[in-house]
Amino acid sequence: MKTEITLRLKEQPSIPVEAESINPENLKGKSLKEIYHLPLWSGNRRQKLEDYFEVEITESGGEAEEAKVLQSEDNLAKVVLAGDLSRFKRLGQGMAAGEMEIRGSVGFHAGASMRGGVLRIKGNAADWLGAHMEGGQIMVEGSAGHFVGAAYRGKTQGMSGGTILIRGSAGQMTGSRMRRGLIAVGGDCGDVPGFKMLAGTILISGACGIRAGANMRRGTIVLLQPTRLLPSFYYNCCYRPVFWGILVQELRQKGFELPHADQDFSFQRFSGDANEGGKGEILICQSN
Amino acid sequence: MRHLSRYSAMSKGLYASEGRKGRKVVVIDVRPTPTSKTADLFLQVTPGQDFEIAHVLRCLIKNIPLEGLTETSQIGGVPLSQWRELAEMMKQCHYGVVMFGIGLTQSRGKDLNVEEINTLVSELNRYTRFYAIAMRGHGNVNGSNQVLVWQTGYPLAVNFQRGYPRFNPGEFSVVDMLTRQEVDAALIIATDPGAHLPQAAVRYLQSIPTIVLEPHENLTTDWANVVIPVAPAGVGAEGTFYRMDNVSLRLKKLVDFPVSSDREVLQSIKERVIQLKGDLQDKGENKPC
Repeated sequence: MKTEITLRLKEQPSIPVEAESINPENLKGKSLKEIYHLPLWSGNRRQKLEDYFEVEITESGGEAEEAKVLQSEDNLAKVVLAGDLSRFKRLGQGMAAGEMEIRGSVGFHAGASMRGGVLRIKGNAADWLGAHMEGGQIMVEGSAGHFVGAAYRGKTQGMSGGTILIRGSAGQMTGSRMRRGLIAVGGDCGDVPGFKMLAGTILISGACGIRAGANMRRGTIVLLQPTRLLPSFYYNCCYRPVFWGILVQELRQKGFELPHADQDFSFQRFSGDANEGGKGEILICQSN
Repeated sequence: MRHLSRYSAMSKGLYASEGRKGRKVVVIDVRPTPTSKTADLFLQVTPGQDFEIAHVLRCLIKNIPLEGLTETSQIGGVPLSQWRELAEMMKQCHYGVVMFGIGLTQSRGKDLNVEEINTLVSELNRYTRFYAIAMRGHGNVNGSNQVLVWQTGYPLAVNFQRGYPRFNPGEFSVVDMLTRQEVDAALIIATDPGAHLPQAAVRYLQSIPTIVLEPHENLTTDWANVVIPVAPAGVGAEGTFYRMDNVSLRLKKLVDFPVSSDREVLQSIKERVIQLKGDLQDKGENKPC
């Protein structure tokens, strides 16, 4: 038996709402009344979920359940949010398991500090998508804002695991200070992707802004479009990295098709940033 | 000019008894200015290249080779040879100070430019003593940063909506919150958003209830819903002023003004809010706002 909890936005709020309480684990095993009483923050006031959402619990694949109380199961309920949620911050923050689907755009910090599970965003995501993410997968059908998978200010390590897949474009500072994990951008990317990156992989399919990989220590940035690098990146060689084919296959399995991507692409390898030890690499596609 | 004569270029001290003669002044700017005319070396750069300049200087002071650049290659509109000369000057001085202005924070890269300058200065300290000082635009901007830091740990863009301080420029900074229309009322103290903020932010501010505490008439007081005249700090009210090199200075009250100071107005607003909220427990307290 599969349970689906649908939250429909009644009306877009005039000021932002912080909704870190909405994630699959938190909704698991709760009755409709309990869900309606979950706290949300708007301005300096603590409000309830019922002020903003209509909740519907549907169960499929088994006998129709009349009781509104959900059984605690190993499988977490699928949470579906519908409406323009661009005023809702921190959706899916810290989620560790389950599936959450947002049919609309989301506000800041969606999937921040996420540890597991799947977060699907059918619209656009705002800044700090998957910031400090530790595991799981985020899939964005639209575009994302700045600081995807980045570290909050004052922190030295951002995203430390998991996968962020963005079909559209991403803003500036994508993967800034990331420690581990994968960020793939299907469209263009703003300035300074991989700033002070410690490790991990960033793949940018479209045009990339200036200063790619500035101050990166380790890690890999794959650029499918040519760009001008800082003079602290040194050309090494042109080769066909083995991991590229594996990466393309894995992305395909996850439903993320790269336009015009071929497993046999050859890349120019640049090592840098020399200012920070030069152990990072930027791969620029030569075949494209 | 006052800065040059009293604090930076011409001032005499224990280890710089010759004043201006014993110092080297390098000005990096996008156009010639009165300051650049007095400089030993003036590097006129193209706008928007601040990050690249600081990045290349970092390489040069550490003698790291630069890919694809020759001595005549231009970095920010200035040949590499001149940047090399500057890097040598910086490494060989006894005590250097980088004074950077607001322009650095407004060109492409914004806060990253400042971060790169700070990293450059940090690395220069392997060779000699070096400092970076932010040049402030208005009086006592540093004061608000100082107080916010010792009270909350963060210098700006602090949000208290959840009852504890949170910091995130871009999310909680004034211009961003106003342009995204995320606030429904504004209390403005000792500044003139009508003159300084972008047009979209000002338009939104005009559409919400706005209270201004201001001693003078300005571009905000014309349209603000409530204007509370206050005594000007340092003239009609005493207080502490933080100079941009973080030195605190006590300002005395010079003359009596018929209106209250910012602090007194905020105190009475706070007391009234507590009274309205019926919070009897806090009502008797007189904590400064």
